[in-house]
Amino acid sequence: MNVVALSCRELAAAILQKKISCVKAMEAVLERAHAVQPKLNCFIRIDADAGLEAARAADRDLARGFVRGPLHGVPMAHKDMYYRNGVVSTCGSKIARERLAQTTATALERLDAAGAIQFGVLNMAEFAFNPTGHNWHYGHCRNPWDPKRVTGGSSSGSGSATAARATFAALGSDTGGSIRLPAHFCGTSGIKPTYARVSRAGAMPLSFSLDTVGPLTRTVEDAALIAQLLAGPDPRDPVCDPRPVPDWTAQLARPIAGMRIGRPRQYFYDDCDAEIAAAMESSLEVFRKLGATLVDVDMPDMAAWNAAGVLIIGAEATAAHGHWLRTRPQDYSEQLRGRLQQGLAVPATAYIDALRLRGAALAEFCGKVFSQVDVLHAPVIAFQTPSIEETDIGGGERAVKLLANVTRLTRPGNYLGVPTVSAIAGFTKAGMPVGMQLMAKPFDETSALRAGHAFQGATDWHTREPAL
Amino acid sequence: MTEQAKAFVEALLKAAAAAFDKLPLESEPAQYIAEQRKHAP
Repeated sequence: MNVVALSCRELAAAILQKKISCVKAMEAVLERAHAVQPKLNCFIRIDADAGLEAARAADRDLARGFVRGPLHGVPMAHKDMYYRNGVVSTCGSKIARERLAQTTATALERLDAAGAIQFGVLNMAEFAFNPTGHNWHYGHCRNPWDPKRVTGGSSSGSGSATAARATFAALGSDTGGSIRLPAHFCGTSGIKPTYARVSRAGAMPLSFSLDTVGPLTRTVEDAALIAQLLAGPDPRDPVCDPRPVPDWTAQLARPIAGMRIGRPRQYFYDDCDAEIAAAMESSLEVFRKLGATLVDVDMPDMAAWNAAGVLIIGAEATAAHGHWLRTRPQDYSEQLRGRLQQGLAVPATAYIDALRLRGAALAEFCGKVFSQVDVLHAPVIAFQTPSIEETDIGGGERAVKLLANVTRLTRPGNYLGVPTVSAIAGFTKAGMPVGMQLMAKPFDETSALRAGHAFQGATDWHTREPAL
Repeated sequence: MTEQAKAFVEALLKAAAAAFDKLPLESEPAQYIAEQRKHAP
């Protein structure tokens, strides 16, 4: 059995059936993590001893008949911004390099309760505020399909390590595309749930109006399983929605025949690379063969909403970093310092207008799009995976343009707060993965997950492994 | 504040200006949460 190639669900089943022990699973993933780390730099820290000790405890529990939950004994590493009490969360930064967390993230508590075992923390963009995966403090994370190319960010290590079979899944976070971009670039699945569906308590904040917690996984089925464990009310997060979470995994098997899948007429295909557009068309054809109805849909003014999203993240991130920006500006990378300084230029009225517009924008989007379709299908990005070197441009005007271009197709989803599943839709001729976004109306993760799971039942793109 | 930061924000304001101009007097951020819940299945 190639243990590290199993999905979370498959590994959990194998552990439960005692086909493999928790310790063996941990040893396998640790071996893989140590093997790929010199090539990919996807980990900030590997906690081998703690992981093995926890795996031994999980095996003892299983021997006495106690199953902790649906992820009993499944090893995971997470983006290094989920606090664990008494442990350093670097947040990919120099500033927080030695900062001990004073609390444990609800997301980690819920994964712990489900039986998952954390064995390390993953590389990420500095304070989660960069979409390419560069990190000038801990070294750039590298793409397992071609280590010269970017991973996407900010959940760079989550995408790289999950795709490289160096973790079975990983928490990411998505404020402007930070789950969907690394899922696209590295060829994993993932879900950005509805804003406020998953508690952000104990997760490093970037922009409190937009921040979303979610997993990167090998399969959409795993994304459903993990997101379901994470989601639901949390008194520690004042905006966390109180509604109960449907049984997403139980809904996955429902056929998608009759589901209406939208193809955007505007915005998402502007200046789109031909190979990416072709992969999108091929994936739509898969949906059509599965019995879905394809509907061309006119888009509202997405460019305005994209701009509004940038104004919000700029103002909120700069406010959150105000103290350090004044007292330790030299400890930020040049690029992040420049981006935070941009936030100082956002007028208060513009920030408030961007928030005031959000309800009307969501109403218009749901009215124009989700009155006609159940799921909106779109590319994640309009251009092919660039190299780390060509995008290692620090701050300045070129960087501003590049970063805006990287998040152009993902940021509106954060502004609207709609749930979006990422799944791999094909590969380019250069052998790089191409992801797709499957967006649904607020709190309808079910439709997006069903569509993604059905697609993976009909294709094998998600089973391909990078040769490392 | 750098000229580049000002130019960047000006471009954003230009892109969003028409949408901001249409906002009625009564618009407030909390309407987003209400709208989100209204469209929940």
